Amino acid sequence: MSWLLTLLTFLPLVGAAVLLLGGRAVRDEAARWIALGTTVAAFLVALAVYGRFDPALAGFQLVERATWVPAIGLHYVVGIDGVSLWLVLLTAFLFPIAVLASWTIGRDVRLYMVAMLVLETAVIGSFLALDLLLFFLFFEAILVPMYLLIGGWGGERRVRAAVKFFLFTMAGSAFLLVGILVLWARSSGLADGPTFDLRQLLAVAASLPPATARWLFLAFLVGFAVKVPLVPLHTWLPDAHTEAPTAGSVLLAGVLLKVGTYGLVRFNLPLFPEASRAFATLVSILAILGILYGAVCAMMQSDVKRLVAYSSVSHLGFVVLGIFAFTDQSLTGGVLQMVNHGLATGALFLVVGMLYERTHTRELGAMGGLAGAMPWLLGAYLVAVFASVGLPGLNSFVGEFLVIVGTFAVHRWFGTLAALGVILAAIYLLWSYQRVAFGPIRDEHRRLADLDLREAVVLAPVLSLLLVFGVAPGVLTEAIAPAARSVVARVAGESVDIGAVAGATEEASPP
Amino acid sequence: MVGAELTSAAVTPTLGLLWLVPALPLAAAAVNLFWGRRLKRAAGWLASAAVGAAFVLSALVVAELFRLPAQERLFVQHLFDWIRVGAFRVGADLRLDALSATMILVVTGVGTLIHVYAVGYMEGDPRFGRFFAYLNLFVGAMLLLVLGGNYLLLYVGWEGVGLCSYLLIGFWFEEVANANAAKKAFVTTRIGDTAMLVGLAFIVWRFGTLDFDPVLGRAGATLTEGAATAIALLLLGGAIGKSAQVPLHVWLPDAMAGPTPVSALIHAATMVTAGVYLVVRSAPIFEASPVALPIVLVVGLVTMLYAGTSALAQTDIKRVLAYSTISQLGYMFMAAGMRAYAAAMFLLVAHAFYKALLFLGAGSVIHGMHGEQDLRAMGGLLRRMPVTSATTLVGVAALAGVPPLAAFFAKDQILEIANHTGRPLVWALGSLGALVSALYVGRLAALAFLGRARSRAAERAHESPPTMALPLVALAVGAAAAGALNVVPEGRLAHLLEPVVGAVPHGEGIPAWALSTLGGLIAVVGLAATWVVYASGRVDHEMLAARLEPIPRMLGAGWYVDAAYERFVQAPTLAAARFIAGVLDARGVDGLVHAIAGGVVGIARIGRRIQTGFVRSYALVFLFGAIALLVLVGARS
Amino acid sequence: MRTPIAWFVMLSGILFALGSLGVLIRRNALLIFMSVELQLNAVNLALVAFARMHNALDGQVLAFFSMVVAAAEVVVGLAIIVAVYRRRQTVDVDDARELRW
Repeated sequence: MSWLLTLLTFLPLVGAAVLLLGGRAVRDEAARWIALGTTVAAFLVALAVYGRFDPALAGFQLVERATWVPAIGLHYVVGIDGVSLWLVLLTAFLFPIAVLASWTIGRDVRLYMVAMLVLETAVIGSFLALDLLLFFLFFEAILVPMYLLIGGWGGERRVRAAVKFFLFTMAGSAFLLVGILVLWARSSGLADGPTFDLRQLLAVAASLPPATARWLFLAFLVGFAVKVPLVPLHTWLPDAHTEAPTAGSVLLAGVLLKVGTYGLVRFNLPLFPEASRAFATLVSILAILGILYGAVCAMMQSDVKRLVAYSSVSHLGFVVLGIFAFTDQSLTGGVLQMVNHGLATGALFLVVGMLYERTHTRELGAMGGLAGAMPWLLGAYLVAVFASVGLPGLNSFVGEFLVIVGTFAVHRWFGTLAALGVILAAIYLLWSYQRVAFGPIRDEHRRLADLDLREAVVLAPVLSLLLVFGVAPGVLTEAIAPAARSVVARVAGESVDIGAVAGATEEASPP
Repeated sequence: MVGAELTSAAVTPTLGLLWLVPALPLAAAAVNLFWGRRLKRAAGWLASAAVGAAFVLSALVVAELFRLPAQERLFVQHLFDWIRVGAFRVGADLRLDALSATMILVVTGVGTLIHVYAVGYMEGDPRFGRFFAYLNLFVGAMLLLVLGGNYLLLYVGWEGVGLCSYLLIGFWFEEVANANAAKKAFVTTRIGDTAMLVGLAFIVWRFGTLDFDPVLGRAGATLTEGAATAIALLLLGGAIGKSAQVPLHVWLPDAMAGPTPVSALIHAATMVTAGVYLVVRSAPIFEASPVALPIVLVVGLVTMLYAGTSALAQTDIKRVLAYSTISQLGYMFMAAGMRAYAAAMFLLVAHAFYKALLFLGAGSVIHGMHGEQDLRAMGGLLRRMPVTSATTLVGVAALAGVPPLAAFFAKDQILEIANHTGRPLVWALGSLGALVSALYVGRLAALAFLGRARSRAAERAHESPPTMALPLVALAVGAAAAGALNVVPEGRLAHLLEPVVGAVPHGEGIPAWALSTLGGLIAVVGLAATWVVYASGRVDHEMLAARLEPIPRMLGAGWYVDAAYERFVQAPTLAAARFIAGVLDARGVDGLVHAIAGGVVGIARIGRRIQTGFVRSYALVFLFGAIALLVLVGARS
Repeated sequence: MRTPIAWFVMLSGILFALGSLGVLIRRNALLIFMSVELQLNAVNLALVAFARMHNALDGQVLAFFSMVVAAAEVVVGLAIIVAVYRRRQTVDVDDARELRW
């Protein structure tokens, strides 16, 4: 069953092809159901992957390898480990929900769903690719459907936001591509010529002169920092979130941002351990700056989607801080927090989207008192808010706590400053909730309908997971912790073969 | 000095039920949250029954625990591993010892009465079911807080009660003021909580675990004085926030925006005492530091006097009680600061009874007067609301410290310790505080129940229904009898707590009987003085207040601490945030991005002039280019 | 007797200059197109002449190539011109400037 990961990656693409080739014959309703069916099927495949994954092993599992373009050493290599497992599951989980949340999209449904499905393939491919060029292809492929989703089905200033999103990420990717190519060129000494295979490049990178490694580290860092986004490269995010359709925001915050932090864990740390240590302080300072700066900016937003966008900047700062503290707890917490933030912020955007569909406004000042009219919807909002605030018992707390604890053990002040972000999160999120839910209600909002069945189906799984992962984070950490442990060990300079393939056979099948 | 290490008891069928104590209210909360509306009035009874069952269960479990020899009164129930990352583990462990036993009995006992009371008080509220869901959730979280076997589980309960506090203060959220009060409470306590969170990180760093046994057992040996001070002060930060001590006390008076049963349960009897519990629980860490306990003492002392004086000038009946609560909590901190942990716990238990009683009495008054909370509009309620008045007056006497009611023994013990451990200043200020508390609570009683009615509402006030009156009676009995905890030799709370928190300090000083007599006198004199001023009709107290201006106004505004925070903390923070978000981010960072984009566009704008659109001019350029190339190639060869 | 190479080159140069002039001064797309063909054929002439001079086939082959490409180009180019004419009723290149910016 070593084709499982390939199936998972390309199943959505097949759905997209069906929709595309079906042409106009595919009615809107059919397009919705085909997209939903495909994403649900992909989720089931992801569950099968989870079933076959052995959390006790630290290396890559279910690896598939085939040579694609031998002349340049491009291989199709996919594999999964503790870091990517939950990100893939999160992605596969959020897509059906995003599709279901997009049921109200009325224009060009077929093309919209095609974009969604292509996006899913690109994101899952990014998390699974173990070949740098393959990763880069998927990484770039994310841009196009997302650009279309924002630019095609977004708000009033959607085109501008879409272009900004595209240009920002492309600018970062340029650095990343140069970094990858330099690394590739350095690998020409290998027996079978230059390669993009991550596991072979790990050895190559280890023998680089320190100065080169540092430049490469910076190139990779810029590429991923835009995506995270790390302050001061974050200004595309509020615009993109504000203009994107609900599902676009959910996916952007839920999984796309994680590709950036995932890249840091997967590539920056193992490939350039010495440079990672050298730049750790700098990156940590940027991360803390992000935590506090994002929170302060969030506090002052009057547009609820912008507010959540800035809160993402703040929360992703926690993730990066955890990654660059290089302790078991902090790195595990960081990866855990990627998943948790995806769920919590995803839930926030879902609720905000539903509010927008009813009130037709995102301005906090134009809402108020809605808790009286729509107790269930606002109740769901409250759960999402408190998950984001980091209330113990809900999911984000464990991740944040592990990050703070792990960071505190190496940098007292970093840990303390990060904790300040927790206060600010309470301020801006509760303040925004208060302005939406409490106070006197406007007359035109009095008769708004509460959750309907579809919306309840959309929200219930996400909210349940917020609670489940808060009470039983061990489900996630049992897989994450061993992988995090080996990354930390490698950064610390121990000779850990992070590319070790665990429990899977390789199949070399040259075309 | 803390008692010797306890050995953990083996599971018995009864002890094994411990997990049900927090689980019952939590389950009821879930039921009420989803089906509360359909249950109608039954929601309230379900909630009361759940907490009542938890109380019975607690009593059974605690009785089982106390059947064991003193050094074996510890039971730890491991439910599951909550967090496991490498060597770092946090279990979902419940820990029952004398300290947590005391707390769960208070929480479930007083909680049950308040639930029953609330069934009557909240009658007819459109969100009746949800109210009880939150109230049950609170009880569950509070039980988790006190039963948690490690700091992280304690923190879970800690934040959980904060959440419920937020939800319940803002329960009537249509009023903007209530919503603001809720947010203020959550954010203010969160400041303290965050200090506590950093403290937990510190503990993990030093001990590698958060379990009470290893941390507290090795605190003295493991920690340097500096580290102990740091951890103790960080934990104290959390305690100060939760227990509304100076300087994080500002949220509690505003928290009175919540329904009165909430004020009684959360903001008087249980949640706000969590800070005291934390300090007592963490005593070994505090003792490992040379300065932590003196700081606790000073915080308590300052808070006690500050809040007591502020209570003197409040006009809202609930705000008097709120400041009174802050003041009493300060008393508990004082006691803890003198290592008299058992005395602090004793006052905590006694306070839970009489303060819950006072709040419920006040709630009954408010209910009877259709929402009127201003003391100046009351008066003469003794005749119209006899049960409420009588029970509340018991609470008043208990709070003032009239012997032999609850607070008399508790305060007496604390003042005696202050005197006998060579702290004459603490003793003097503590006695002053006792006088102040007799004054403000006497003023409340005189204004509300004695004299003549000062408004239509007061004339038409009616007695509350039995669901409200019965808990009042039960609490009055408790408030009157809680002193017994200090009288029966073998059953003394201090004695029971000794294995966990150590013995109460002893020493020499003014003889105990003299101190007790003085304490009793202070209470009686204080109450008598307020009767003369406010109820006898011989003094025009409004004239008196007017002549004392601006002192009453200053006290009424809580010494302007709130105003100062607004001016010097909130306003600058908001201004800075506005600058960062509106100028630095929008024009600075994003401006830079747009400037770069603009620069590219500008260059392109110049560059595109070459593109005239005339095919023939392109051809001309092409031609010249070709010729130039030819010339270049020719010149080279 | 063989004609000197210079004659061919001169004729080719003259033809090319005429073609270039036509491209530069004509406004009718069709005439510009014909001028371009003239330039191409001038080059073809030079290619064939040089090929003969060197007794090699390379130049002739290249000329064939150029003719084939020119034919393809004519097809596309004329199609565009016809399409433009249908749309705008004119083939004046100075009027077609929309794609400028």
